[in-house]
Amino acid sequence: MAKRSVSSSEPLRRLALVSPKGGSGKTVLAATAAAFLHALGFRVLVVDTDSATNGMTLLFLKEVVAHATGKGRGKARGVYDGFSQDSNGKPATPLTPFCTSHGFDLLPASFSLDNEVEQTECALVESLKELSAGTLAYDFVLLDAQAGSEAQSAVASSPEFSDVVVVVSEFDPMSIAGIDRLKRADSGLTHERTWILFNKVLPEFADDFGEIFEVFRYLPPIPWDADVVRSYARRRLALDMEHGNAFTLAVLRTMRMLLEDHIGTKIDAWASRQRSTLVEPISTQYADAMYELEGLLREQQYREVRAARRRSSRWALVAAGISVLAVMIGFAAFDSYFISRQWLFTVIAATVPVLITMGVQTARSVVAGDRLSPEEKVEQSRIERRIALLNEKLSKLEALQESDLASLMQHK
Amino acid sequence: MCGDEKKTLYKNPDDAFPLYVKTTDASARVDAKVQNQASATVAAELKPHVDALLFEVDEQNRSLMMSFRAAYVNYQSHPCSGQAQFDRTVDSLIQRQQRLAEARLSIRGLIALASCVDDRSRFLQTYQRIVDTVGGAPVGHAVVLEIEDGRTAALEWTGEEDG
Repeated sequence: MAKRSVSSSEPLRRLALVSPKGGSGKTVLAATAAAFLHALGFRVLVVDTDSATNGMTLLFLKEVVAHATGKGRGKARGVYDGFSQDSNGKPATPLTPFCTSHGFDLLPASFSLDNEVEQTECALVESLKELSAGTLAYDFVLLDAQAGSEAQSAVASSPEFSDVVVVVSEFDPMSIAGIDRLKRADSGLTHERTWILFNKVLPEFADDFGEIFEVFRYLPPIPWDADVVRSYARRRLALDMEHGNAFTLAVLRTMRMLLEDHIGTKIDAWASRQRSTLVEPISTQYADAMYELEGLLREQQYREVRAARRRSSRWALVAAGISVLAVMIGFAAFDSYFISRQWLFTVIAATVPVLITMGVQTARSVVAGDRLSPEEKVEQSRIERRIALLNEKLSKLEALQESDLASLMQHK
Repeated sequence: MCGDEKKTLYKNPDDAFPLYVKTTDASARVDAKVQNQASATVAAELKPHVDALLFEVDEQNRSLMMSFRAAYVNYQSHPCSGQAQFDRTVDSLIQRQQRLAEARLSIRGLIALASCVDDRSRFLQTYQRIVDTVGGAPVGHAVVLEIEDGRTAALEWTGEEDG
């Protein structure tokens, strides 16, 4: 499809990402794969061929609009943007991929719906042929195809425009049935060039699924945890090539299996660079988080003991006060030598504030019982929140520890 | 006693707080002032988002003090063998405190930006950057702002910005 800029004996790889139904996360995965390949030092082009949703275009919409505005009206051309022809019958405006904030280039479906947009199979074929003409220089080209078995999806996944097809699917009965449907509709999806990739897999399911289709090869699944969803909600990619996370390592594992011959050396180089920041600190972080968790649990116990002590001392004070009062009343009742009635009345009149305080304390103890004060409740919920955060952090670190980066790097 | 070395332990962890941890309370009071300033200057539609940031920073300040208490409670249990771990934890808490101090400064800058310059995209950029540092509940606010921003871009893209 395009000439390569990096001198190497490896051939250019053109990947089409298709899916049996919408919502499989194919677009985000295509962008992530492109960002990953770019981070390894490759030149990557992503082409949004999805005429139904323009998903990749929407993912980078702000950048698409900014690029179109910068170029001037009608000067930027995407896959489905209509175009005028010059005297030789060639497009007057060439396709204009632009560099995204993630470093890879993107050719959107359309730079503006104000353009004459022609979202047809023919327009896609023309655009892909134009890209193949060799005016662009990339190491990898990723085609983000339309979900389902529409004509545009078949074009993107055809051997003419892609070397490898990755069927991105969720791991549920509807999606699996959808793969069967896709396989029947598209005869180009052969064993040699087709991979199945289960995406958005719950982390706890990631190791527990069997191979369902004997006719396809499988890539390691991509788990989605809360951090991936949070990133996606903010129009970001959860890829973290600096500090690593479970998602990044899963992408790394998948891309390595898919493109071993082409990217294996670069992954090894990256791994040896990042090893000190990825592997060793995980154990330190784990120890620190465990230490804090233990401290918080002790603090929680300490607070419970302190609250119990405070409650019992309040009751003890009340009990002591009532006992003293009862003894005094007892003596006064008999108008004894030690305490006369007159003296008792004088004392009671003089200690009214103390007696009221005791009464209030008694009422509070009776009403409050074992309940916490509002301040204690806020503190308690703060501790619980921190404990929950630490538990989440520990489970993520455990996943990273279990992923065993060293063996991951050597995976063939 | 740890070998030949004598160690002093405070019974109440609060007494063991170093000065730099105690200042977090003062910072919270300053935040209240900043919040009042925000009420006066930030546009009404942006104010809840700024308030969420200030609230989160305050919460994390308090959480920081709690973490210090937790570390000290651990240290009280193993004063001899736990010294190295305790020192590392205090270092990491100080780093967290510095990050929060930076975030607090950035929020003041954000408020100044919102009140002086009518540049929503710069406000959003700064807001998202602060949320990256602070995390927590403001992430939800960042999503809302991102969605609003995305809709504006979508209207421009579809050619309906005047509609």
